[in-house]
Amino acid sequence: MDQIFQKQQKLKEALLSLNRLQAESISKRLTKERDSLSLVEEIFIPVLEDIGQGWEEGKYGLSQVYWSARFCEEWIAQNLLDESGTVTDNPRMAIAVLEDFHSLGKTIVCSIIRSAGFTIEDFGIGISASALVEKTMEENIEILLISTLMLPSALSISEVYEQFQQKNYPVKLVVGGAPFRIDPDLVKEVRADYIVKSAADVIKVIRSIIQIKHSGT
Amino acid sequence: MSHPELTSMQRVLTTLGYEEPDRVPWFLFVTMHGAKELGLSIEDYFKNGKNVAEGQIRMQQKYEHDCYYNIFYLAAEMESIGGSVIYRDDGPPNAGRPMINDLSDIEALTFPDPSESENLSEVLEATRIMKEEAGDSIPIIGVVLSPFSSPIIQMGLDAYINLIENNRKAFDLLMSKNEAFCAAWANAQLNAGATAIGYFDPFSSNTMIPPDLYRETGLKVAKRTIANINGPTATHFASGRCEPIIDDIASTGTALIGVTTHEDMSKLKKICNKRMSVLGNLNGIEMRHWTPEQAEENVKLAIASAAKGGGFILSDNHGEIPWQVSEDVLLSISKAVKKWGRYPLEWIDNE
Ligand code: B12
Repeated sequence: MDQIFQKQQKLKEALLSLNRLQAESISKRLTKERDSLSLVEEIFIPVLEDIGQGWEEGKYGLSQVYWSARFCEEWIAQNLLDESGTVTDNPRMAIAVLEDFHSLGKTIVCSIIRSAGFTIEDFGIGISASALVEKTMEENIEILLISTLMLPSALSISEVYEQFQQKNYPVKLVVGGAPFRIDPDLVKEVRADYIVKSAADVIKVIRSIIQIKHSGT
Repeated sequence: MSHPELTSMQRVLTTLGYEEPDRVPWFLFVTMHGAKELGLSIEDYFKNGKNVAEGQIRMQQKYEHDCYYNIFYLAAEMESIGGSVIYRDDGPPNAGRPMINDLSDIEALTFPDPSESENLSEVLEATRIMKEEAGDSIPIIGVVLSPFSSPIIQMGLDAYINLIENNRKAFDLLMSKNEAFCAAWANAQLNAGATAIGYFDPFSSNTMIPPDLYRETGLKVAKRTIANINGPTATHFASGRCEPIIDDIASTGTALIGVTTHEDMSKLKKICNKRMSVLGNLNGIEMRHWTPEQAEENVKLAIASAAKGGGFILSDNHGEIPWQVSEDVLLSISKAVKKWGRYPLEWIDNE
């Protein structure tokens, strides 16, 4: 356990200082020591979660969160790709930026989800509530992730919710973005199933949705 | 002891001199709400400087806050170099597609003379009309997007972070162009009658980048730019955090910092230690669903945390009240400032 912690800390330091060479050499060493699954589950994801948590607490900057997530996604894609379709029970997931045009939150969330071995469809940015609902139903999406940076777009999530209700389409709505961090009560207004404050926490949420689905509740 | 009634300008200058004026000064940063006053769509309202001036004047009469605010929206600067702006009818306009897509775009980047730019000249026109109305009694707050934060909309946030990591030479070139424009744009606003300039720099906040990177980049940019602005500045982080870099910010020569709800304002004020005054920190997004009692309570909390001894201006935490915040809430805030903001604020010790 301690040993794992030390390894996590080393990688975390390299990522926080945006030191690509060091991050690569640590990751390479770790690949030799362990299989892909445990590398992702025990090192990459906990480190990303830790950095995300630190950002939420004001310890790190968004640039570090972004850089770390991108590094892990790229490194896994380049080095563990063959084995990284590791998730056997991948729910049908998609992500979009509703109405507004700020894509960085979505980019970070995608990187983290892909780092964890899931696949996710990208429905793009600036999409309207009705187009998003239509696309989600067309693609049989089970978990829809929505990112917004502007308040009016965040408020429009309730429109998405209502349209799904009207159409009786069962989908889990997972939402995030700056307005939700600034006003925690916003989630009640938009009626999403989950609000995620820091991108890396999305993995826990996805896993818990899968678990609930399996337990049939 | 009671103080004689001061003008807004006297009230603000007194607090910036770290003395207690008659009551806590407050800046109500309403931008889009002027469209409601004039019965116009947001898009039509911002087409014309006269509308914005009229909106500001009417709103100041209604809410009795201590400033006029000349900003239309932050994307206006990019609009002046040919960028598109996307309007919506229930919120601020946003910048359209990034204009810098590769390094050659940075080399080719040129800015207009603000007074000759079609849209920025409307901001200057609004400022002049406000100045005629205000004379020396109400401060007019102008706004610039900092050279360090501008590239987020000029090129996109991810591309900008990558540029800082990978190509400092191109970054330096981009900064020097943005710095020259920023100072010229600020000075044009001061010449048109703005009293002070809000230097919006959220990319420098700790929410966006770590302090070390700020010291290598945004801090140097701010020092150079603020030195070339011929009037007082207030640095605003648009609700990003700033506690670890307060000493650095003080070294840029700025007079005031706009702070977030996510940090303890009384602690920030102590760290500022009369080097800068503090502006903040009502939560604009939460404000939408405040009752009159909650509005009053939040005003009291903010005043209690930072108003004693001056060096404090009450405002929201972002520098813009969301469109969805009702007139009733704003009137409740106005009422609460008058009720609880009167110096010497003895109630703070009694509660
Ligand atoms: C930096 C900043 C700016 C910069 C650049 C913004 C940009 N990206 O384009 C500048 C100075 C240009 C700017 C301008 C404006 N801004 Co601004 N800005 C900020 C600030 C400080 C950070 C925003 C940011 O880019 N964060 C980076 C992103 C990636 O962070 P994030 O969305 O929080 O995402 C994280 C998590 O939330 C999570 N996440 C995000 N989405 C999702 C989705 C899912 C499913 C999950 C699981 C997780 C998740 O992942 C990320 C990493 O953990 C915020 C305030 C703040 N404290 O956050 C205001 C803020 C976003 N701005 C705001 C506004 C209004 C504006 C303007 C419209 C002002 C104006 N009138 O002109 C303009 C618009 C600019 C434009 N695009 O044209 C408001 C928006 C809310 C509102 N009131 O409507 C904010 C929230 C400030 C506030 N307190 O009200 N801004």
